[in-house]
Amino acid sequence: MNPQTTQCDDQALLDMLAEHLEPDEHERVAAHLEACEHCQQRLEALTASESQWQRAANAAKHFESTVDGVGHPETPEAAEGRISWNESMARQLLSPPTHPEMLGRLGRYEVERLVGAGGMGIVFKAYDTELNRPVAIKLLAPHLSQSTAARERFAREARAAAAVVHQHVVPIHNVETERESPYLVMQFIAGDSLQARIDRNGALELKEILRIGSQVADGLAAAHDQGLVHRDIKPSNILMEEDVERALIGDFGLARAADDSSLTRTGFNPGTPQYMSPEQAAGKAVDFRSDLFSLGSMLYTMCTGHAPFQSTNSLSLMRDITESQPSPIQEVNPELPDWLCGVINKLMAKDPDQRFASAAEVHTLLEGCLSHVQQPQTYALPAIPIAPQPNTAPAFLKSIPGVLTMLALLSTFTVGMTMLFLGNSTENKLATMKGPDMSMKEVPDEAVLAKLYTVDAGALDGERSAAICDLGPLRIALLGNDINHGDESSRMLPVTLAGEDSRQDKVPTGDGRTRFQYSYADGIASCQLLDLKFRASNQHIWIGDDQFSFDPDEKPGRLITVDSDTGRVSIQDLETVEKRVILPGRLKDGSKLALQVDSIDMEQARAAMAANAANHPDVKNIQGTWQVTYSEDSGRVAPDEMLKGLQMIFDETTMTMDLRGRKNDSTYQIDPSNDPKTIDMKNNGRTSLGIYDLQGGTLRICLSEGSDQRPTAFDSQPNSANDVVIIMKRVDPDAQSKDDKPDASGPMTVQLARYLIPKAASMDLAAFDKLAKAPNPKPLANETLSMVLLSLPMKKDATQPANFEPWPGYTPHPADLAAMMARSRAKGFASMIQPEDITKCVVKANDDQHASGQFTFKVPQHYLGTIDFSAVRKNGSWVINRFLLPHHQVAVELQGDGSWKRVMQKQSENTAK
Amino acid sequence: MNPHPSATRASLILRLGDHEDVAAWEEFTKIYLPVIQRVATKQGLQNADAENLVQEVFLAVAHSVEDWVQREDRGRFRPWLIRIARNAAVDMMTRRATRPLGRDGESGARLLAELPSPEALSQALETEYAQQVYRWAAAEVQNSVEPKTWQAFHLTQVEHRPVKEVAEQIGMRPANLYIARSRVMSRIKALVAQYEDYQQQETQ
Repeated sequence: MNPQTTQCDDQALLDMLAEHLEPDEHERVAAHLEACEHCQQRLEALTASESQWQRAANAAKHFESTVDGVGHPETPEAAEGRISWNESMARQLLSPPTHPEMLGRLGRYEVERLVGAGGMGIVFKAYDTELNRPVAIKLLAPHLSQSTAARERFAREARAAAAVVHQHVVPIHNVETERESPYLVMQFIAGDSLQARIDRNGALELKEILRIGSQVADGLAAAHDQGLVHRDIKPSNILMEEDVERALIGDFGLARAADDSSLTRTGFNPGTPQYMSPEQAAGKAVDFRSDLFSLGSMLYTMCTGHAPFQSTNSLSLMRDITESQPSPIQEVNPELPDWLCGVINKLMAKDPDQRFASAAEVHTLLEGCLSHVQQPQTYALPAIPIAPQPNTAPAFLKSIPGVLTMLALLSTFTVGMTMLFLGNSTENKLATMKGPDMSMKEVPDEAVLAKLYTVDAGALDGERSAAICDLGPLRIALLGNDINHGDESSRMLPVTLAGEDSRQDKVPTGDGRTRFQYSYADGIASCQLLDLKFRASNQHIWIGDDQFSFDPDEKPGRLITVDSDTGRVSIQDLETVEKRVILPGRLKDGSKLALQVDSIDMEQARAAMAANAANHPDVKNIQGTWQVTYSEDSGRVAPDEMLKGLQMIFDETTMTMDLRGRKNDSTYQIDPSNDPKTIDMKNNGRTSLGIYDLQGGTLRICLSEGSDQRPTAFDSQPNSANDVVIIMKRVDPDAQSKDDKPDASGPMTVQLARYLIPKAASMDLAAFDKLAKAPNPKPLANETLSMVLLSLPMKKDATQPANFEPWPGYTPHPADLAAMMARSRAKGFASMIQPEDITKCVVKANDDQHASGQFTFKVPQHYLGTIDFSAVRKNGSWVINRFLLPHHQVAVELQGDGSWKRVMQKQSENTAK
Repeated sequence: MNPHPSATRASLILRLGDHEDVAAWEEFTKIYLPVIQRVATKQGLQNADAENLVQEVFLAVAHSVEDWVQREDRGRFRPWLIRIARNAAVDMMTRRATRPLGRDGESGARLLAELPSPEALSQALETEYAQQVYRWAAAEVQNSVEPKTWQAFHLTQVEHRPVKEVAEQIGMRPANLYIARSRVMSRIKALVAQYEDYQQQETQ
């Protein structure tokens, strides 16, 4: 075993590399290699040339995120902290330097200078003499290091923090605990702190806020994954790397040492707790959600230039944090979009349960928002979960300012209460649309021109038109409505939004009703567009009691969309004027004044809604016993054997899960007035948000798992990974004994068909993989519609697949597929047809046992087409058993074994008849 | 990982003519998509436009690669690809005059005027290509080896941390760490070599 006795042997090294050596031989060579520097270098040279090593390392650096580092920022607590360190005091903690220009020495580190100090410790810039690199050293403050508990905790936490390797967390190189004052060695980041940047520049711009916010959330997510809570997220702990758009979280895990109660008894104050969470301020146990609150406070600071809670006195500050709401961000920075304020409000919810489910979720959300802000035409704004409003009763009604009060809806519409979806395709179209050119010779100075027009259904979602009123920088769109035809001159109206005289004017319709009218007095115009009433000044618009601000000179302005059919209301920024595009908008004949929004009385509206919900047939229909026929949890499908013994029993308030006699109760609450219908379940104090769908004898539920973001659809992206999907059939109490099979009663309806289609048409990743590996697939078990579409014979002469602009009869081309696979904007190659892509569904003919129909689907930018289907009733349930793709003369049929098989149309015609 | 481990890269381009060869297309996009996209962004296109350009290029390749392969005088693949990319870019810029292309609202016309020559583009593309092949290879290797083996390579070669320290951290004896990182390197080299072989063949 003596390495000296072994010869240097290149061949042995190569054999070892190729794993050709016997174990004892391997051991011998390994021992030699460990001791022989020559052989270490030989091995490197034998493996590859120096430049190859270098290129491989560069390549790896590219996708692995550990960039070797540079400096550390000043910590501004130095200024605000109680202990004001200077270099001569710091010198006391160090050994004498080896160079006179240095401050001192700490182990193998030459300390160059003091860069900051805080409650926890002192930060030095130093030089690692062994590895020849600059480092930042954080030394536990002497008053803390006297406590053994604090030292141990410091060491433990620092080691745990060192394990977090992430591009947005400052890397910790070393933790030294042997000394009297333990210290840790971090990568030196050249740059300053976020606090310094805010101090210098004030509030940041939207993109910066989103970028930094999403990066910090990303770093937090990595730490939370390891069970680490930062506890001291604040702008001064975020380092902004110079020249690179990268934010790094510093000081991980260190605040913990300061939390030790024995330390506080010594009179130590851990610094200004401006960014503490309420639970921290109250001295309660904290978990990762505390960091989310601090992240929210930090975002607030980036938005406004100052911390959300600013009392100089620690006690009153802590009281503010636990009790009061910070002043609205838009008071300081009215340009910021409502949705961002919504995100921050949610992060800063007093109740940790009301915040986001994880830092990862926040990261994804903010990243999505950033993509949207950078490229609004490509990326829709992600769904923003609604922010809660603590301590004030109907939380959901006030939380996203302004929008929900419009729900003052009368019984004619149902309302999406809990989630606010912004940026769906129709709204994006409205936001990017150029209005018709209309002008008026003389518009009074203080007035803006109200332009009234209708956008065709064809230019939007194909089904509904929109009545538009462009009012200065605002665009108000009533989706599912149109402006009545009138003569040209009356399509516009100068509306006074500022001025001294009172005025009024209106644009009547042909049939004597009013398209638009307003009366102006005392600085406020009271307007009515069709039946939607609102008030406007030259800076604000009020709908009910809620107020949106806008700057009349500021581009691009706001779009407020009201869906006349569902009552869903959303607000988003308009595209800048230069970038707006022409949609085929025109005035139309005929009137449809379905919207019945009147003056808004919240109490009344809520009562009406509650009454509606309580009377909905679903409330009764959901009660009873349900047999689970399908269950999918985070993408895993439960085996049939397990499902056989699984039933759900709903009574008025409780859902009992019965798995072969083992029972588990949850309370549930449904709200059928939402779209999609919502269900909330509570089990062991944990609430799961979900949506449900009840059609005849079939109940579908989709619950979010471990997230407080309600699923948006039964097969929705990006939630689906975390969703639990359960499909149940009603168990008829009389039939139960004689037949296990559930009963789906009634004729085939459009709703039922729509429900069945996505099930048959979505494809899982594994199935796609099989397809990718086998370009000419044999009928796979469970081959699905998407796969069939993909495996259609590709036409080489498909002439214009270039732009992905939807046109009928588009033939997918293998190159399209290749491009789609790799394409970020693709919706996901594995799920090209989603339930929400079905734009139209008709059941053409039906009798008791057979039905057929056609649906139209539109996957934005990819496919557009119609597919015929037929369905049969089997054992009392409707099953779609055949799809026919008319453009391709190809049909797929459900086989006896549950797989789908492609058949030629003729053949299929025969079998269908 | 690689559906055709035995196939050399030499056949990759030839295989593109078969539109149903999903595996070839997949690998082709893995290598060339980032290359084209990066070159495009470096020339001033916005991400979204660069993405569109990539689409157009791939579609054009799909349309004509079979004809190209059959041509006697076809020459090398990448110069041909550059011609396609450049044409697609010109196409995009002229066709879409209504929507400003380019970052910071630079007009499409200006970008068009500044469009580099095929030779200049060729240089940029070759550089990106060489890097991308390494990146691709490194990614393939990272996905196919034990995390520890990869760390042995990454921590010492990329982060330049001392072998002893890394060995201790990841719990591997130093000799095995040397071996592990060399294995990573050999595999990367082997994957890259497949492309280099191809390059040689191609130039013949």
